[in-house]
Amino acid sequence: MDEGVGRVPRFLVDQHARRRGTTLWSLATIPDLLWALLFFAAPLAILIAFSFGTEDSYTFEIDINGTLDRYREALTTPYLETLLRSLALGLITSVVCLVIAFPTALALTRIKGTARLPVLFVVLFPFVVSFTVRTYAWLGILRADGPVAQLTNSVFGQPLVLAYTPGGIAVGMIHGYLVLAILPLYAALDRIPLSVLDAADDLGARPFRTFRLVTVPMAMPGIIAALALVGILAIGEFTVPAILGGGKTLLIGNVLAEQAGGANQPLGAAIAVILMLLFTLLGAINLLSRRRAHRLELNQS
Amino acid sequence: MNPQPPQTRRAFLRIGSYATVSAIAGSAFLSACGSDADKTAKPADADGATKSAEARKLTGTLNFVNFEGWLGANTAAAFTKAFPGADLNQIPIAGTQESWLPKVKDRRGDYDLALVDGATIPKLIALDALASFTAEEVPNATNVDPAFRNQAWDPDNKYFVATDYGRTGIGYRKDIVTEPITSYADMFALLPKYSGKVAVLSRMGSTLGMAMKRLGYSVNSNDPAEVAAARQLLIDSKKHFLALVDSGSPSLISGDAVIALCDDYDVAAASAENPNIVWVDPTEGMSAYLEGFVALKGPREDLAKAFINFQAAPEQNADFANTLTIAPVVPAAASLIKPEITKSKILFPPDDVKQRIEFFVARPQEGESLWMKAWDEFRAS
Repeated sequence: MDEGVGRVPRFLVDQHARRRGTTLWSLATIPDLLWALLFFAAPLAILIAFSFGTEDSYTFEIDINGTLDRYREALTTPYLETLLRSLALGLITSVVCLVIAFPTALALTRIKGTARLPVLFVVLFPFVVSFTVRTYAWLGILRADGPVAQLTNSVFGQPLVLAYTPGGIAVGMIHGYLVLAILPLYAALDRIPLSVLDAADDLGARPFRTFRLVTVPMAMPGIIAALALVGILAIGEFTVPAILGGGKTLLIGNVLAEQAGGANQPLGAAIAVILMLLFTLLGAINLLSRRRAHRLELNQS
Repeated sequence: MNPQPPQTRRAFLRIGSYATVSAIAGSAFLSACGSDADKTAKPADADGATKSAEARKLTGTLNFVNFEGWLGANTAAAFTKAFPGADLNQIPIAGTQESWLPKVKDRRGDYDLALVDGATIPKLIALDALASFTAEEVPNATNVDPAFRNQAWDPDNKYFVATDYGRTGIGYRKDIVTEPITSYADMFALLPKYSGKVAVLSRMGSTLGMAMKRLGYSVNSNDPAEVAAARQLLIDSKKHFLALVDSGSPSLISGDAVIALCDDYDVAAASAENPNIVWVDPTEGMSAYLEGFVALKGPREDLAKAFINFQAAPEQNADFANTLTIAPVVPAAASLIKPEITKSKILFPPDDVKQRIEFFVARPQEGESLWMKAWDEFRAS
């Protein structure tokens, strides 16, 4: 036994050792921090700086002169309408994905034993195919001579042609992002203990009441994750509008891709910063509301 | 003649089966002309051992920025044969040529050779990216039709050697559209009748240029009022447009569209597949483009110049034209071109049509911003 230890209380030695251990482990995060600094923080800082600049369209030199003109441009015609349209389409896509994905994920959690894995595989298999290939496949389905138009023509006497329309874009995005809603919902629903649902049943709750008061609140983290994942990606989408929208429906993702790609990099940067602030704001609102709900729950209990 | 604005095209090569057929036919044709191909395998006007020794000195891989497949079917192999130790690494242009230009600035020396349109030359000069050449370095440049040399943006022919040209007009299905179409005015008048069956191009210059021509303006106008009028015409007509497409002919062939804004080479190829697809040179006039090769400053610029010279040989320009169904820019190539191309009234327009062609010029920065904003307003409407 070390003499020194005898003069110092044991708990202080343990605490000191723990601190030293924590410090050593903290050092292990340095590469990750450096990585984040180099490849996230630094590019982000450059992007923000570019958004306050002006580009020479011949030499592509960017003069960072502190101008707010790019933000003014981004928040006026035609880009403001484009942003609002993208937000609306992103909202529709995420809500419809949630409505389709929730029962699918719930059904998957109800499958017992080894049968679940093959069913899960069947549900997810279409998403193994490339996103672009699937989007082109939708073009074939939604065009004037496609099966949807033929079916609606034979049933209603009027063909429904969704190719090259905002409706077609929504269909492509909903299908494209569905898996991103199913997976977090499945993970959240699978974590709900059956005993809780049985308890609700034993206490006389009808299935819909159990669903509303037990299943949905307990699946809330999955619902929020699904909405966020689908919504964020859908708002910035540019492949689907290009293919299924026939270039006629301009979305903010297309503008961002074109401008940041060289047409006007400061404008692209300003749009990117606006989108980033928007998503951060939505995230903050979500976080605050969840904290408030949690506090209310604690008060009630 | 003047250059065109940023172009995105050639998608037909990936989409249309006729392109494949054409390429195979081009290969077969040149295979049949084996002795000619052997001639092209030598460097420009090869005159023996000295030239061959020079060719052997030029080695390396040329990083060549190009539209995917926009080259003669036999050119790469013939070039490698003529210049042992040299080969081509083709880098496809994704999107517009404009989107590639910032990379020239950021990756100086990584690109050696590029297919460009005239509108990009002033920008490439501003970027100090172009390698100039002398008449001695590229002697075959004199093979090119004088009409395509001494351009306003390259008056001394020290940067650019033309490879191909074309114009943008109307293609339509005469078996479905019974009304005669001779002008953009006719096309716009028929929009309500064929609503949702009219395709326009996804290229700003071509489609906004069409509206400018319809209104009687120059495609090179940067007058805010004129550009605004053209934009409004497009916005008002948008509900009748099927889509903004990379290439007009696939939608005409499939029947999705019955009228489309098209490039001449596109309709020339499509009409061979479906004779009901016809071409119209609008009476108001039409926009046109001239493309060519430039060498970019860097470690392989001498090899790039050698390629440009090689490509300007009649045999290579014929291979280019035969593969892609386009009009050659080297008159001496005419005898090597497939008869269906040389007889094409679409690809070889009469003089009165030539007089109605307006080539794009590079826009000043204000004009460029004006056009881009009008284009975005149309697409966002």
